[in-house]
Amino acid sequence: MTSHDAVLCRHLLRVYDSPSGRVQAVRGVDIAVRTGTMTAVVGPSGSGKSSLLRMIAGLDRPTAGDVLIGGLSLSALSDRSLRRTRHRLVSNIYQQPGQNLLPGRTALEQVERTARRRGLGESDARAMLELLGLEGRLRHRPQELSGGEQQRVAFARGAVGSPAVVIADEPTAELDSASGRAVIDAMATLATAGSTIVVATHDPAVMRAATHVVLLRDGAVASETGDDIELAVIDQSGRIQLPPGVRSWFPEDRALIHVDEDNERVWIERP
Amino acid sequence: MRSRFRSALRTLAEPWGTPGLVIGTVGAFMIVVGLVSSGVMYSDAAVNKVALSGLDEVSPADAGIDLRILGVPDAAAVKDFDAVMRSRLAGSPLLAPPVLTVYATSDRTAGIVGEVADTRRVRMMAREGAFDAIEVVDSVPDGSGVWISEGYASVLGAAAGDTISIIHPTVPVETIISGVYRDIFPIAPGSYWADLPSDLTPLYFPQSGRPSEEIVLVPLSVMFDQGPAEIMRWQAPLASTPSTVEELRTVERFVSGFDTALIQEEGEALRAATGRPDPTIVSATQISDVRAEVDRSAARLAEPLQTVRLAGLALGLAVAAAAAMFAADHNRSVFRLLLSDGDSPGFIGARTAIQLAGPALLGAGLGLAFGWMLVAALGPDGAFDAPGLDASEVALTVGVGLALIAVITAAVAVDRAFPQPARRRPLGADLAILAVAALAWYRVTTAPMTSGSRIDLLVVVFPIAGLAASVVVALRLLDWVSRRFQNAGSGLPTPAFLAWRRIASAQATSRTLTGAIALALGVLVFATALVPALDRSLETKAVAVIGGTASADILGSTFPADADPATTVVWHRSARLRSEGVGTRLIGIDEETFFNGATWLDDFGMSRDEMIERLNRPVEDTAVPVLAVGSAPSDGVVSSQTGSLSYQVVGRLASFPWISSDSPTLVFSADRLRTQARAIWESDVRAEFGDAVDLDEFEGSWDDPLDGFNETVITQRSPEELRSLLVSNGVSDRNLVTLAGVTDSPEGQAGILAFSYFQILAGAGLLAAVSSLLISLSQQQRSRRLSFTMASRMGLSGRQHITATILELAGLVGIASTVAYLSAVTLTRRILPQFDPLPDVPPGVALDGTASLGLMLAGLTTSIVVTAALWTHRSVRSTAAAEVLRDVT
Repeated sequence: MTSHDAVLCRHLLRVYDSPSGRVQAVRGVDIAVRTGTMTAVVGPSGSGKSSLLRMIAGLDRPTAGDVLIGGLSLSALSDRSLRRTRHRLVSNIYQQPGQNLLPGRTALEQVERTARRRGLGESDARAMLELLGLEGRLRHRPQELSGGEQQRVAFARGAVGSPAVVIADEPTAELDSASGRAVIDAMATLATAGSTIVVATHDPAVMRAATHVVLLRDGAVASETGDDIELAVIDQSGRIQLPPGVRSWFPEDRALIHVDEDNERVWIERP
Repeated sequence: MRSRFRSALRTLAEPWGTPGLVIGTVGAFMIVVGLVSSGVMYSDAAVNKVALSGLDEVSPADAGIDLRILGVPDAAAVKDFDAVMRSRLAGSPLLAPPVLTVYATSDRTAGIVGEVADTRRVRMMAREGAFDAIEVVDSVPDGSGVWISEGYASVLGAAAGDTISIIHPTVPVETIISGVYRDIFPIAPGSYWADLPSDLTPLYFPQSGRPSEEIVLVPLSVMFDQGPAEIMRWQAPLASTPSTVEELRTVERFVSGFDTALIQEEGEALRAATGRPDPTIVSATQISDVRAEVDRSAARLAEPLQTVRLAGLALGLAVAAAAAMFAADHNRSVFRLLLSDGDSPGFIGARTAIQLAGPALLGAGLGLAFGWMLVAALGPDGAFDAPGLDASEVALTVGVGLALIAVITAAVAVDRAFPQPARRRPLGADLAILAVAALAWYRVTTAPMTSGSRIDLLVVVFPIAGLAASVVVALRLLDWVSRRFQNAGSGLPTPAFLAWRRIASAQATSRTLTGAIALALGVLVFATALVPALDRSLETKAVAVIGGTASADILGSTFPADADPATTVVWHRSARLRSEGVGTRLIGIDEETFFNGATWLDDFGMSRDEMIERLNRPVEDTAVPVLAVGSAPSDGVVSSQTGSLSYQVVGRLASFPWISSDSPTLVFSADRLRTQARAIWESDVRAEFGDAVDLDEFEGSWDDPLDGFNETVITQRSPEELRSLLVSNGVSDRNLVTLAGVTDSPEGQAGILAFSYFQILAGAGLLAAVSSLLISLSQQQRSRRLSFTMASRMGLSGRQHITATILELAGLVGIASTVAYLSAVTLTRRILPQFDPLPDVPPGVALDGTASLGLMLAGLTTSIVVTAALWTHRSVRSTAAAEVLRDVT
């Protein structure tokens, strides 16, 4: 972990018991999220995105491995300390806009509630809402806001007080394209302002807006893209997953491996 | 500070924006408080019904203030005493206006001057209001003398205006007969004379038809002019018969306190005023004895009713727990938000409980009314306190319910907010239920049937635990079948296939609700089968014990069997089988009048005509045809102190009127026995003295074979009417017992009352379970809309959807009903003998009507299924397809 990493996942493993047996939802995931970035976690349904995000948020404990938020290891924390850490360092935004806000409260009250918990006041809440273009909706209650506005209020609530990371699970999935665009802009604005955002998504627009994209497949990281490069992930056993589409180049399931020890390079080719 | 207050108010107001949550909470607490309060009110009504049933036999005068004062000096002292007592009693609503009676001892005889005195005793009596309660037959203007009854005047050959001599050892009196009144004996029930002190009520009416003691009425103003009065009775009857045990206790406290104060203070004052060591005052009230008997009856009901209340409380708490789960489901997005923000599950639980306090209190208010309605409609017909609970108990119930919501919400908040992939249901709870069921089974199968405390917690828990165990096993089986055949059924018609897929993939909530419906239906079937069986058995056994509506043993005289068209006489005695020495009871009936007084039930084993026909069947010359009851042996000879009887069994009965136990009993026709004995006697006389003998000369040697038997009168009349009938026939009774005395006994009623309450519990439980099913269906609307819309696009018609929904619900509720019915009937058969209200009295308790119960259950199940299916289809169909599809794309 570097001093720039807001989130670091090390060898994360999550196993569930189900009536049909044990299910490995997350298998040996290692990722690092740098402060002030917007990282999209993508992958097909059932690839482990939500499980990974819950462990990062401190809402679930990994079967093995560790999560560090702002350098703090969550594994070592008691339930009580984990709750405090969650309250101080992590915010969560969910898919359905109506589920991110408390019923009956105005937009300002929603954000102010979290601001006060993080030692701030009404003015900070107001400033955060204004940052996201909601200055005209301060006194509106959830049912008086559109889905996109509700999600932006949710981001304002999540980002107020500068938590270590704001985690969003498909925040644009239930929005029309215009509202989705507004939410993506809000995330970008927050990232630019220094917030760290990890967002699980199927939305190509979100992927395009993200500074980093982590692709999950079958509970493992298939690839990482960021800073204009695409990285493949090597698991603890030394295995590497081929990028999608490349797999068909090896119909015999065999590859020649070339190791250049002098230059520390490895490459493969069809036999 | 202001914004925090505003925030707190908003938090409290949150649930009111969600009608479903408010309605659910109000409904749940209505059921919780309804069940708890109905338990209290039901117990109250049951105790009041059973324990106070004996009060009918105690007169208001005997239970009220009843002072007996010996050695009354003079009229002035009586008046002073009466005035003081009335002033002390003034304004009490518990007691009726007092009645003063002054009378002499019965050591006098009377006669018309110059004539021979009648040898029977007379009492001179002055009683307040007496002259308003008699019918004057004859009188003269001079009212300073005495008044005698019409019958006594006839005996004495006297008329108004004659001079009567009342002979006293020390103070003889000669006075005018001022009037003649219509006889007051036998006393009509409820009349003024019914409250006559018991020592003035004659017990014997010898053959003369006159009472053993004649009452000579005297105006109070002249009582003391006619010689020493000696005894004074000051009675303040109860204003009304208490309808509750609490009322009775209040009256008892008042009467006892009054007596104690009076005996201590007024006795002294009376003695001081007269300057004599007497009079002495004795309290003769029976109120304390009555209260003690009521307490004993109440104590005998206490355990089963306490258990019943616990059952109500347990179901109430289960409903509160269900409400908590419902609230947690409803609030899961808020929980997720709060947990994400770092709030603890404990905080979330407390927050939910506080938020729901308002709807809970509203539900509690409705619950009191609900509980009252349940008990009024389905409970025993005893009086009960309408509110049932005081405010602190209601508050405690609501508090416990809210605490349960807080605890359960805290426990499930995380699971509800962040659902995990489905896990196998843990075995722990199932094993605990099976263990309790096994323990209760052991208790039921090993408990003695004749024990006085047969209804304890485990016995009452047995049906619930047994049903719960069946439900648990059935749900496990359903789980297994669902997993094993989840993908089967592709060859089925579309509605059946869809129904099976939904059943096989039903969520845990649906299966739990199926279990809850099965449990509620099972308890309903159990109680509906058991209670009428016990009730019917108790009535049958009561008839077997009493014979009719009332019966009384006769002392020292004979009651003519045909004296009354609704009464008969049976002759009975104990005897021993000569060969085996086995104790046997003999009962003789009068064929002509038997069914006038006795009640005959088909449960006794044959029709009444068949019984009479068999008792008159030809048998051997020396034997009498008898019907055997219980384990009476076949043909033989029984012996008693007065002779022997050869008998031949011509039939067997399961039971018989006026049979108080299952000991061997032989029933015979009294006429047939007399005829038989007469024939044998005549034969014996002729054998000894020749055929030409005049039998009349030997009549003195003829002994009625029934002479050594005891007599019991059995009637269809009320106890009061029977008593009057006996008195008017110059017969005194002993051991007068009534049908109600048996059917209303605590022993008889304990099981019936305990399990009747199960019907209330089952009704409330079914209401809760069906409501939960509908709520659950409403929560599934999203997935059902999706399923229906997609299936409609693929060609599923509305009719097919209704059919599929009916089949799906019929599958789940049908499984519940089948499990409920089979388990409940099996358990009822097993437990029924355990609750035999009078196990020593035949016939045994039997269960019938289970088939009609099954049909009723099928009807109930069908109506639940069809209603729920139509409602589901209607709400699913009402949604536009585009709206649904937009939601999921």
